[in-house]
Amino acid sequence: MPESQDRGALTEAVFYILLSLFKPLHGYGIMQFVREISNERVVLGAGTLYGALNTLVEKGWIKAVSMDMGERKKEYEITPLGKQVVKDELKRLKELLEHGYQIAGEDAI
Amino acid sequence: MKRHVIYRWFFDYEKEEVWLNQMAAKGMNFINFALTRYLFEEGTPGEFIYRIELLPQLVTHPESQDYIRFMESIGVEYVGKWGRWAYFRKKSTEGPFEIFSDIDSKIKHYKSIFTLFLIVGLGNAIPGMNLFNIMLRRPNHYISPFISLNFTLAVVTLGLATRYFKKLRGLKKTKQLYE
Repeated sequence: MPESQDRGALTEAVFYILLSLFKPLHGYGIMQFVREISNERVVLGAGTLYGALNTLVEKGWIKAVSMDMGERKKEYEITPLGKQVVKDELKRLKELLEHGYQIAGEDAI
Repeated sequence: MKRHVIYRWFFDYEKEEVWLNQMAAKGMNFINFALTRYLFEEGTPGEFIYRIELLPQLVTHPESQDYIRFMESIGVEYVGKWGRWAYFRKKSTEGPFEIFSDIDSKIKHYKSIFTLFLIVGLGNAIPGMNLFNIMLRRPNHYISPFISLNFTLAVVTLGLATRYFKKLRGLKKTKQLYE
């Protein structure tokens, strides 16, 4: 798991997990969201997702949503700190994109 | 449904995983493991994808149980265990099934496998070394079968530790280039 503040870049998995949690979702929903939004390019491994969710909770970027009694699947939601991390990452990606286009040209893609 | 028992032993879980998936492709679905004994149930060929994982704790540990519950909540079925090794399967109609999808988590998994083989290897190497001692000093001395077993186990597991160390090093190199 990456440490955003130290390394400056989130993994694709973490970035998409954070995006998926702007609305509360459980594990299966996160996997589906990431798969669909990336056109099946990013398919989260079950173990990778589990590890990422635990680390993100520890770092306070996401939190478990309190559930009704009897609800078996745990739902998660992004925190204000998590939203800030996403914003910082967008800023970083924007800079990369701008410089990439400037030098390699707009038609690079 | 008809069941079959096959006795086999694998030291390398990646080879074991390939074998289980080959069996599943033939419609022989693995449903239980107990010390070399694999139990299969006849079913639809290609219905399941199997994965094996070394968990950080014993499968019976509460943290492992929490993990297994999470797996089940996302449509992964827990099939069996062997110490810290857990067997999982998922219906192939539900898309690809991988446990680790990024370099970081693959590195973490390989690291724990490497450590396991290294510990088992060294643990057997020490008594195994006695084999040489006895053979060199007293050529006609009785050699306990346990010592030969220790020696063989040490060779096999240290060989595997080397294999996983190389895999680990390869992944770490890739990680320098990609997030």
